[in-house]
Amino acid sequence: MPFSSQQPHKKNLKDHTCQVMANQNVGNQLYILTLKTNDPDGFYCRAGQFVMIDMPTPVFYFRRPMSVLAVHDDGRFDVFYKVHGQGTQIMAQWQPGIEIQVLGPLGNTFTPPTEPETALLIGGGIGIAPLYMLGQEIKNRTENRTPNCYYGVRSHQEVGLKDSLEAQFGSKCLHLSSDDGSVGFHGNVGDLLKQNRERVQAAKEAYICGPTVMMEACFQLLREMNPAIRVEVSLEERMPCGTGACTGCVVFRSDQPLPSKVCVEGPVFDATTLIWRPSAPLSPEENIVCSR
Amino acid sequence: MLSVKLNDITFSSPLLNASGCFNPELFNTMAPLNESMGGVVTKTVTQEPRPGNLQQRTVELPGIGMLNSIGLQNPGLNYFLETEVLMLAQYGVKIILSLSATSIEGFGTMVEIVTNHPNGHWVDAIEINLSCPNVAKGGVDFGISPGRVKACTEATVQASKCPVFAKLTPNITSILPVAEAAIEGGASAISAINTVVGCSIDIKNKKPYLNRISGGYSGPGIKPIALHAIWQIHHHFPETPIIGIGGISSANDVLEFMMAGASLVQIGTQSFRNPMIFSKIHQDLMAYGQSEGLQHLTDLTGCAHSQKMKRQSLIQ
Repeated sequence: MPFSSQQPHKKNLKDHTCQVMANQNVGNQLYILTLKTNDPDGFYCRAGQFVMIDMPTPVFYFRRPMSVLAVHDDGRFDVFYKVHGQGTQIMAQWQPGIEIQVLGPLGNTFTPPTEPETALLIGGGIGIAPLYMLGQEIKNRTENRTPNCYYGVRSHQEVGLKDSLEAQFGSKCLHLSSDDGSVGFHGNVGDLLKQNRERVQAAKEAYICGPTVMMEACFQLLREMNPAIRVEVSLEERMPCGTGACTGCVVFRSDQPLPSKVCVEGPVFDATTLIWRPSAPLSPEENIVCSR
Repeated sequence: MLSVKLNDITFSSPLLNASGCFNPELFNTMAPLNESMGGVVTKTVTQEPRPGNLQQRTVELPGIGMLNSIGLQNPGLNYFLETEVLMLAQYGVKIILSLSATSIEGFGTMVEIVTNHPNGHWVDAIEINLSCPNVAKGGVDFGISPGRVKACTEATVQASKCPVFAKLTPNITSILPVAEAAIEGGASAISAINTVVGCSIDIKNKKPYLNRISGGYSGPGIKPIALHAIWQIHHHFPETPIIGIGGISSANDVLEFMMAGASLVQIGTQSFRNPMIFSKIHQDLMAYGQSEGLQHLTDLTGCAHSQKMKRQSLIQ
């Protein structure tokens, strides 16, 4: 089977009217937002997919793209976010009971691993959210066969999901690292992978989500240690629309003639196809300022 | 009540998307959407595929809109005619092909390709995007020169079997000379306005947000600029239909544009926030029309001008 991302579940896309059930501060600027759709069909999505969350204000804001952390049977679902701008500052003020519009599910999904026990889930910061959900999906499909999760944070204050991750992956399969050494391995997640060379070399598949710099570094590292490993990355980009309309969130790929829209062709991509630092495709004379 | 007849085309609704602001695949998932839209304006197509600009391509401007410098990424005219136009045709909406070229002759060449292609008959109208660089003139936009606007429009009209709309840039001292040039070139309607050139600086990193430094400003903040342009065009060329564009977010905004002189409108940036905005505005316009006892919403087109005239006559 080619290691390409699965197609999105387009039929499920809806603009859900959701109620905020909880908005819990779980670390330094980290929150888990629990939403419940009023749609009688509930909310369904797969690991890797995301939602666009509207700011309930008449003032113009884009919706915020957010990875889904977990989906529950009763129409509730969780998103994990970090406050780092005006939109997320507004979100952090939300109290239970308010209604917001949530467009989703959007985007594609991870390709399930062929060998769940050797698969590597490598997260950085809030990039852990889709990997947490992927871990759950893998366990559900394989009678609790648990992949290894490597999670890098700056400090113990930024783990956020420690208890949930321990419950999901167990202490044997969860490997934490922190830049300041305050939790887990002292160093970044790449250094942690180097410490686990045997596991990396035994893995057939790896899944990475986190800051772009971290994803590129981890991908290069994995390929150095295990040239045959197949790697999927879940990208984060600025997304004005999330629906493939604006062409604002593109990524350049070696196997595609034109840049790919992260929101509809991703966010999950085969890492070998990505051009991490593309050069300018157009000459200055072709500078088009005011046309989409 | 909401249908609009423009040339020989009947649009079931005055609501269109602005070019480059809509993914028609949403019709698959959000079914009522095509019922509220009178037509779809394609993302601007160039003769050859274009990769567009590097990231960062967009900047959010909270409260007022956004900047974009996408750079006309598109898969080219052949792909459009072989694939995209057929996908659009299945939804039963009018298809307005947005075209752009880097030379005056290029517009004519592209339209000839459309006219002669077996799938070309699906195109109901052509909107020429004049906010693109004229390579022969060192990359200066066609849209700022009345002479070149007229020449591009003429080249398109002569090669086209369907109506041609000229989409005008506001980045010019007065929009009237280029509007007049487009009309003289044979445009069936004027689309106004394209985005307003703008810039935004990231003070944390001490550099412009956009890779291309400046981009097109769109969203609620440009609505007064657009209304001014439409008012002027309608005032001087009342016989020319206008497709109003610029920061439309609600039915009330649509009414403002129509009262200023627009017959149809295009919605862009707001649909990024809410792709269902077309359905909401459609409902609200229907409710307005019923409450006002209107037979045709287009009866409102330009009505604010006559009100102004009435007021002036009272004063006199």
